[in-house]
Amino acid sequence: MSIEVIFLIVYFVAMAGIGLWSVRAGSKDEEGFLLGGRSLGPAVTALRLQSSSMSGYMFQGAGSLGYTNGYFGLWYAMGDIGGGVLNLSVLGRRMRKLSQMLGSLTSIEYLEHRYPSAWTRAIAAPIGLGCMFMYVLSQFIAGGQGLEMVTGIPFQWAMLVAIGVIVLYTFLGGYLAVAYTDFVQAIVMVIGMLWILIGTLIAVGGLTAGNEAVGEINPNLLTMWGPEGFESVKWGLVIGALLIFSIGYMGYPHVNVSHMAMKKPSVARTAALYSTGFNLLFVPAPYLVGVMALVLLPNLANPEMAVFGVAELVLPNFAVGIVMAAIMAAIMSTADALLLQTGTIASHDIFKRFINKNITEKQSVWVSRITVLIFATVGYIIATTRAPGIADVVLFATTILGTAFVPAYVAAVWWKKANTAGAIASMIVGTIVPIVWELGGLTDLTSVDPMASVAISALTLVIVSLATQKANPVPAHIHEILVETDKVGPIPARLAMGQNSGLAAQVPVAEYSQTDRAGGAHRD
Amino acid sequence: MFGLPMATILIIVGIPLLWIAYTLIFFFSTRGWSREDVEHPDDFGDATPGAHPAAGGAS
Repeated sequence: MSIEVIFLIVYFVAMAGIGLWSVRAGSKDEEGFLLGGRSLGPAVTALRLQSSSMSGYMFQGAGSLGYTNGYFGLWYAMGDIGGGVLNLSVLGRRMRKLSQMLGSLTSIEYLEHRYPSAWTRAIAAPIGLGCMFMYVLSQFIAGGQGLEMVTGIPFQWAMLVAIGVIVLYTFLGGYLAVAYTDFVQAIVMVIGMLWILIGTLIAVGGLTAGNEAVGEINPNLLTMWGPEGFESVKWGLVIGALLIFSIGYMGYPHVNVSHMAMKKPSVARTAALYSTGFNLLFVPAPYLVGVMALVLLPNLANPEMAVFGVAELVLPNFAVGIVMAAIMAAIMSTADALLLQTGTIASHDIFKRFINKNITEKQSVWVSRITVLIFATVGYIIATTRAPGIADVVLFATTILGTAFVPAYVAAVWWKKANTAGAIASMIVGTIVPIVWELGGLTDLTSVDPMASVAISALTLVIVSLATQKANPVPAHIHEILVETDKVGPIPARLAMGQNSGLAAQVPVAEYSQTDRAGGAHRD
Repeated sequence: MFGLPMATILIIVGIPLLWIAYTLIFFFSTRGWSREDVEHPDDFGDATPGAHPAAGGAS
């Protein structure tokens, strides 16, 4: 058994162990399973947020961009470095506070509670579900391919192992298991990535020598303008690269749930420090390794193998094992978050909300678990077909998550006039425009990334909200809660909402206390 | 510097510096957020009828 396989086994056992450890806390009730009991501190919040947003793309796609485009690829890193702090500073405290006052347990339910209408959830849930399911498929495939490459186990079996470990700890411990495994995985990711980078720079004789060697291949590779030079730079793609990983994350339901699960709203402050620190260490590295791979592996058939190929070349065997664990960590930390969210949306936001409102909390936890299992099974079956073009569809799915949801989430906490009509219109436009943009060939024609259509969905939210203020006003109790969200201070008890998935708009706990407590769980 | 054009250096160093500055400004300007880290007072007894939004907000 090779040392890489031993490292992978140790890694998988550790992740499963964390899952078992978190079972008790994660299974107590819905809030325990879906939000870890809102108990997470800054380090876990930050590293969980980062690792769940950064998938196998960081080891494959980023390296490939560096290999094919030189330093131009670093535009993505420039936005990505600030994605975490932007998300935490813009949404963190407010979303944590607002979601608690609304009694929301999922990031989709939160949208319905803020923009009261069954239609909000009926539209948001399928968009979130569809996009996240496509995204998780790519991670399954990447995980299977990675394991197959290292262990020699056939793809279908390798993928089964990877999915099996993810499902085990997600099924058992829910959000708490996902958060703590993501935390550990982030540490493994940064250690692995830095190790490769240091080994790479040593192999090329230092940063200056490496850059000079790359410059001899094509001097434009050392610029930020692309291999064709400044005259050919596609500014639309540059803007898209900056936006996609900076503001795009604010539209990811599986990332935003981190805010809802924080121990307290002020966790966002310290989490921002951890987030930026992690990103400075981790984010630029795979792009740089990809650039240097041009010197070390000049005839690479598949640029996506640049990082792994360099690792095999420059590192001792045991370190390759750690790197492989880091790659699996990146994949699994995203896949588990996505899987949990898709299971949650299906069980809580669709089944419980629209089909059977009367299930108990314990039953709801089990429904969430079973849907995780079902999606993992369906995902496995589809992923084994290795349908061509799936990678492109996935990249697109993440763009739609950003364009459809960023305006709704940001306006939810910052603009009291954002109403239900505006949010629904924004989500619909944010879904349709990038699809039309891409399928209509406008990306190639204009050189503008579909991600830029977030501006159109934001404008839609503003225009429709203003135009329908009289016909569809923001309800008074929501307005009151938003005023409270603006303030920095503890939440008054009278504004804490009872958890009732059957209602589009929540009823204050105080009214539950005075009237009827039966049928709606509430937080004391 | 490091064999890179000056424009590349300015961008790949300058933008991260901006994010570091943003993070520090955010951290230090939000010191007051610790005021939220207390258990909320039980003010059921203080609530007035007008303070309770109507349940008819559902649509």
